[in-house]
Amino acid sequence: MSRDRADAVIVGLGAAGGVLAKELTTAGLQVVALERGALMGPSELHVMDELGMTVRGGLWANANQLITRRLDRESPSVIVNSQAAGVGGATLHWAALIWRFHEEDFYTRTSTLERYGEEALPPGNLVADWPMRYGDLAPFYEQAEGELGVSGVWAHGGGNPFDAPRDRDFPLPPLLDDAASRTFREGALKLGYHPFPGPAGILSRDYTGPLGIARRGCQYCGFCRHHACIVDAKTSSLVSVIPVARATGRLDMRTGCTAMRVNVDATGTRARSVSYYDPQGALREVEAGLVFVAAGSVAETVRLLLLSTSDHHPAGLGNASNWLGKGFAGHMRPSVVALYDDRVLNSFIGPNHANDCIDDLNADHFDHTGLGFLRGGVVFQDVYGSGGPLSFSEAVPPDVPRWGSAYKAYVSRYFTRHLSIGAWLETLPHEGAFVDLDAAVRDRFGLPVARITAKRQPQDDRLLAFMLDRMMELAAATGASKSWVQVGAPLPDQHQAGGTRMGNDPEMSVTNAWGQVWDVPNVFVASASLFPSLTGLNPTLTIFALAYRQAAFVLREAAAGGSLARYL
Amino acid sequence: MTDGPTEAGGDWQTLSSLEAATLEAIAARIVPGDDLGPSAAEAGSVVYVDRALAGPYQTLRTEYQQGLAALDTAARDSYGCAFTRLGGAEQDTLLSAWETGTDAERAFFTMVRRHVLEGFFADPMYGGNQDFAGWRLVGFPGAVGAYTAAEMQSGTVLAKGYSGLQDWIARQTGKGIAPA
Repeated sequence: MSRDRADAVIVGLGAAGGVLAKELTTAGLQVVALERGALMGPSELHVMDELGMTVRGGLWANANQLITRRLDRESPSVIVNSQAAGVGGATLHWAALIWRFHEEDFYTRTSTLERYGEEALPPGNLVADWPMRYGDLAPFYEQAEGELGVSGVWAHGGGNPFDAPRDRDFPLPPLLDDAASRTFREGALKLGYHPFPGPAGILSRDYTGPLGIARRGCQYCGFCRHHACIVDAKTSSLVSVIPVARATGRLDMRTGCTAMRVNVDATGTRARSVSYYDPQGALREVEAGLVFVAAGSVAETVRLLLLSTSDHHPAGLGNASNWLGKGFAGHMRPSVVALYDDRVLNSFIGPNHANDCIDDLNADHFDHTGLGFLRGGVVFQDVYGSGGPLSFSEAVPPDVPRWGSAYKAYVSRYFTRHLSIGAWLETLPHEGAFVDLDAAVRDRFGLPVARITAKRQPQDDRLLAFMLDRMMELAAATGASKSWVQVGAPLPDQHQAGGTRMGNDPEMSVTNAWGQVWDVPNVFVASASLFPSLTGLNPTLTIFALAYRQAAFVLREAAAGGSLARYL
Repeated sequence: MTDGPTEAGGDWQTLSSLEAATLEAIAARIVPGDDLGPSAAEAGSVVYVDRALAGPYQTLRTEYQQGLAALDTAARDSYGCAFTRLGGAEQDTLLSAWETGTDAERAFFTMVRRHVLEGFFADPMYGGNQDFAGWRLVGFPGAVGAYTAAEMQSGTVLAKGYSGLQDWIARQTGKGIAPA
């Protein structure tokens, strides 16, 4: 019987998995990719449907990928959907705001201690510096931006003055301006902020780029968030790097396949295969020279490693330090809605999330002395929900009835006269936030699902209160005739990070600076689970960049004489 | 009312004739017909709910059956006739009471309001928002697929015409974007 073997097995074909598949196959490696979801085509993806996509989560609401969530150890867990969506992962339906992290975000702990002292860090926090600096990642940010196709303008041309340094401008200019963005911008300028066009993983014009894949520019259809792009202008790994991988002929893409364990050899120091359930539910095993766990949202990546127990790894693979699952952090996403009587905005048009932003209230860009909290987040012009009428039907101010004639008049007048102000607020990893297995809830294979434990801490509540005040102030400064807090008590569970943190000390981390698992050198993690801290910016470009950097390391070490050559 | 599942009536897939009539009466209070446009009932919200109950919302069939029956009973108890026979003001009074009533009443009201609005504002392919009544009300052209820079800057409610997803798909055939 022939062995089922690959040079590299990648679990998950989302952002990171797609990049790894492309980099490894183009370098000549035979790669098997195990993707739990499906490979979708135009009939499923080129769809504009607020009910199907936004309300019902058409691209991700799936009984085969449930996780649980609870506030703390004493609270009951609730079952929720994860955001995974098949080949392309969450990049199929993301809002596509695309950032390089700030220079100081790579050493948040050190800079906080230096500036504010030990007392400023909340008790129980687990914030750590990254085992790299911005300069180490910059070339890979640039590679990602060029290959994926991103739109924006650098600081020298009117972009974000807090942006990390770039060698050159964005590959594509910003997306088109609109009335809603202008309204936000005018208010921001009045308050002394520095608004700029949101950098977007969406093509602002037709683009081919270094991958040689011709894609159309954004058509501003207005069905962006929660949707796949009808013209593939919004970058997903499915329309960018994965086709390149497939064209090499060296990618064996196995969809409907759920990985359930990374198997190690008798010494416990080398992974030898990955076990998975095939689409018929039969348990199979593929031998691997190298294993990449890129199972998207933090929860599934951590879960696979926790399930990969063995004599040498009784607490899970990569858990000798007892850090597996720890250091979880997510974003809070508060929302203010603003109404206008003096103008029509039609804010539903276009990729409603990738509009003007301000970075003035993020990270340590303002003096936190005496405020009682640290850090912040990016604030941006947004719409409520996905921007369509179904979403807006729930954006009702407290003094308007929620049904009847007055309600009808309200939605009729203000759907075209509203915008939202949103923020992605950083939370700090701490002892009370972690990922583990929920023994009480099992998937269809009988395996315990992942469980996220996280709730707002006092630091988060104080930051949130401050930011809501700033957002209301900003709404007033834009000339809104009415504004209110629509989402004021968000959970810290969006844009999840942590759980397999990177570090330089094997006692305090799960992987080294390359995402290489300390205990087992031929196993790598590629996910936001690597992040030792989060910052108030969407994480996906950083996930992409880390994957490019990891691939470069792996290919270097895989060459003759390198540390990974013996696995291939 | 019987204890078992009700028989679908007339053209309805899941709702009985009385259930559909009661639900239409509710829908016409949630979004009443007036100078701004048709009611949610006229726009087909109940067609949407009926179809949804045959599909993705089938686990809610019992809630609908029990809730609609209970609301009708409440109407008879309070006013001596079926909910559908009441005037708008009395219907509003009952619905308002349910909006802040017992757990079961609040849950039912919340669910029905949500589903009526879904039927009113969702793409017409789901059975509601007929003749784009919901989208016309708010000025949302729908699945037109593209807007120009001029439209984005216009500062006016667009008079662009309306398009459902299926209309857009039909227009794409032969344009190089694969149809469904």
